[in-house]
Amino acid sequence: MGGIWTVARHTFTQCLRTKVAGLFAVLLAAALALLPSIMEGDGTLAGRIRTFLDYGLTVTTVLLALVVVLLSIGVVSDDVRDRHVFVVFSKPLARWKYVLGRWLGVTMLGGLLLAGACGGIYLLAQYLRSRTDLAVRPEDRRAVETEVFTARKQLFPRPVDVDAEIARRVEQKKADGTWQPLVQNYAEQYKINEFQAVEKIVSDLRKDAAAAAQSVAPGRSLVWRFAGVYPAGETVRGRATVRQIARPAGLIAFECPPALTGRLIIFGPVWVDSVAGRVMGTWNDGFRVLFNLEDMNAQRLATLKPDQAVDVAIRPTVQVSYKATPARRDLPEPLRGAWKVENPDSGYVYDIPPYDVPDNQRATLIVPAEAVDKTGGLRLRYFNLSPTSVTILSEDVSVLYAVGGFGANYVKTALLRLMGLAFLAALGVFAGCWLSFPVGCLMCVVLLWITTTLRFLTESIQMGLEFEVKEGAGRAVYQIGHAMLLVVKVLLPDLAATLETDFLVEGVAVPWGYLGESFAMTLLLRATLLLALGCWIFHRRELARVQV
Amino acid sequence: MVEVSANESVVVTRGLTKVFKDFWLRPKVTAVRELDLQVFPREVFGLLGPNGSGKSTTLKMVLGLLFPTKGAIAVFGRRPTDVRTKARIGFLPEESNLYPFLDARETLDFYGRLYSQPRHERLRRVDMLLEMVGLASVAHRRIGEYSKGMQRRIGLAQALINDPDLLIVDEPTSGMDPIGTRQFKDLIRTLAARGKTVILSSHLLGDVEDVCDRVCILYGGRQQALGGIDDLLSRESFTQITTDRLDDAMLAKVGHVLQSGGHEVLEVSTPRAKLEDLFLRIVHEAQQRRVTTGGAVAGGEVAEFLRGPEEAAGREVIEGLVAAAGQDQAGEAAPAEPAPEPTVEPQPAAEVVGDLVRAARDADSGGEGPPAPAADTPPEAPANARDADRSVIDDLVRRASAGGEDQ
Repeated sequence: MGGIWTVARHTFTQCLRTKVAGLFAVLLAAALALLPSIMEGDGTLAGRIRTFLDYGLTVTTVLLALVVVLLSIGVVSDDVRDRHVFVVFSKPLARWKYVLGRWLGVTMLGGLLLAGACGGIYLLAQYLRSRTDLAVRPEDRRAVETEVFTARKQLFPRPVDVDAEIARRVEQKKADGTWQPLVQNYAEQYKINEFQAVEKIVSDLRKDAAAAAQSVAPGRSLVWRFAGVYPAGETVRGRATVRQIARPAGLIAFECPPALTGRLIIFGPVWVDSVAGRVMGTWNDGFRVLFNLEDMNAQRLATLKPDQAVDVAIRPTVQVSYKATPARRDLPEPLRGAWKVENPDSGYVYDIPPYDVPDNQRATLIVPAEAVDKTGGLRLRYFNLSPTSVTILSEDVSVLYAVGGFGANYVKTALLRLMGLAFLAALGVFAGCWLSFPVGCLMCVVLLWITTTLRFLTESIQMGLEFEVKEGAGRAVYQIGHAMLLVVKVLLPDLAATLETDFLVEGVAVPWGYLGESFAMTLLLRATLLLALGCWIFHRRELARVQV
Repeated sequence: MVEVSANESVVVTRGLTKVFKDFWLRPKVTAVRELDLQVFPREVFGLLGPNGSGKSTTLKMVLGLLFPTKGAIAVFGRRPTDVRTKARIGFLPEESNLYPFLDARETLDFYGRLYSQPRHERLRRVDMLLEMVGLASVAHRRIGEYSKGMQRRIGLAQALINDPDLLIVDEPTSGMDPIGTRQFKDLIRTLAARGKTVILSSHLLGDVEDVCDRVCILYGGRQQALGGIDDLLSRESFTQITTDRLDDAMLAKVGHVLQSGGHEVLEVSTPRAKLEDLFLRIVHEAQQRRVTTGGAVAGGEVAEFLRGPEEAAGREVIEGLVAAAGQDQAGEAAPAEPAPEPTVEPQPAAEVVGDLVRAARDADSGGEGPPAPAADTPPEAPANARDADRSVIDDLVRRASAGGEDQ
């Protein structure tokens, strides 16, 4: 291991003293310094922070990916070109140790730059979070605290089962004699055989039935059922000061810091000195609570006076994220809708009265955790109060609840990036082991492009093979492309998925399983495979011969 | 691959052939053909030949940087790519091929780490090597800023960091100034005296002639001649007599005598001093005047770890005697003039020390000094007594060094 570490240290020093790394570091610093001031997002503070996190991490990732790839190709291929290997390999250093040392050194540098950039982004995001002037409304503050600076688990409802509906429709078409003409029509239109035509018709019917099952007509309601919801977030506690008491109405107004206001849910439960109440309104530095009249006259609340300090406790909440799409886009008025959440075990009901539903945009509801039953089940019902049908697809509705802090989630996101960079370093070192610098760069750029467009390329070739090209040289080309893609899929990770910023931007916790899977597939399997290939090639290579 | 029996040889090649091919794997050029070599321990072996004769290709195959197309190589009885073999080798390539972004100290430290040397020992060797190659004062400068000659010096230092059993040097004095060249040759002699093996490839025939025991002359990738320097260079059909200057009358007499014996006088000439000696003397004087320079200074003595424990111990005795011999030299650094080959016969250490003490006393008392070799004596003697004493002490140090090597 001594040789590997020596080469790694040497590589780290070499990269630090290379102008390329310095140039990229300056570019990165400039970009991160500018982003907070030019990125405004949707105008809200949460949107601004999300946009900053998204762009900041994307810019960081792209720049560091370039740096790591360029350096990792260069440290090996330049050593051969400049004949440094003549001296290095006259020493007792095994070639595989050299290759691993080079990879480790570049990865260390990538890790250092990543830590610096991620640290900068984190601090700037915290700075934006502290800007009280950018979040005047309580809901803005709440969105920042509960949707961005958090780590939530995300659950989707059970997919809609449309098999029975499809079977019914097919039987109906067969009964009325329209099935066979439809199959022939598909076969001619897409130039496919009848078997393939049936597959495509069923696929189209499935999409149609799923859309119908997830649409709600005017005046009707739609229900989603979730399982495995176990909100375990900590109770938020704070102090507030009594401002005004309307004892006959059971209302008390409190003053508190904005951070606490941001956690409150309109119509949601809150505990004041351990007495339960319901939040009736919030503003930037205060809130109003409705208490049961019996509680109001009981000993604890009966003695409350203005300016008296009280303890406030807010139990964990569950968030519902959804996107509603109207059937008609020319509505004169905004979409209207209402929600109802019921807990059959406890009889707890949480209503969200009618409000303007954002049209085709992601929105969030906050629901008290009391709405979840003992078995982790949650039942949501949406009432469509608009004059048109509204579709909310099952993949567009999800339940989220806090399972951790933003900091830990941020570190996990950074680790995912580090794994991506480590893989890219392995790819670059592998290229440098047998190619010159320019050719290695070309190869890596092509592979990276393929990696980021892997899904699209796979689907295109699949479509081509199934429906478009049936015979001749064209089909052979598609088949070769298909085989090459299979190899690429084994060798290269889906970097677009690994390096996506959605987790952090959406405040969704990176699952440990996902992190472990990325580690296993990206590093243990693919990077190791590339490094092993590189070691084998380098071991068999005549280093004193100049190769291109 | 053909099996090669190493026996006592350090390097053995059997039918070594290297054919370079083009992109389409068509044979392009045969760089080395059927080369059979055997390099023995403790010898300085020279590879000679014009450009493209296969010298460097051969060395690269010995180092495992190129693979033979045919034939076999064994280095210390193992394959050239064996890491255990590399631990005993030091290599100075034709171009120094060092990392330009490291400074001299970092360079030596990096290569020292590759031998897994303990930190203390590594740092000690780095310091000694920097001193030896005369780069201690510019050790903080990056290699990229060095002149070619300075790079050769640090390249030589990295080749010696492991005190190698086999030193392979390719055009070692290329770009080096005469001081460095002389020092290099002294170093090769020192290493050979310690039982090290040296393989030297060079265009500079004078260098090869000065230090090599045996040479192999290559042309077209084939071995053209192989043998000891004396065997190859001696001209048995001629006799050369060197005497003090003869006037024309005496020359005529000598010619007459030779003709009467049936011999012919082929050439009569007056020998000239070597330009190398003149150059070294001028630089030495400039250094004594402390003329400033941003480049390399004259190298120091051979690093202690390269001299071996016996000589290092004897050295301490000598230095003690030298210090006692001239108190007026106290505090003055010994000049770093490269030591010419002494002409004294090898003697046991005790006798050498005795001679040195006597010589030192003679020098102190103004008596005759020890017989100095002609090439070692500058044409102009030092102007003052201090310089004269200094030169005596220099001779003592050099002779002690030579005596230690002979043990």
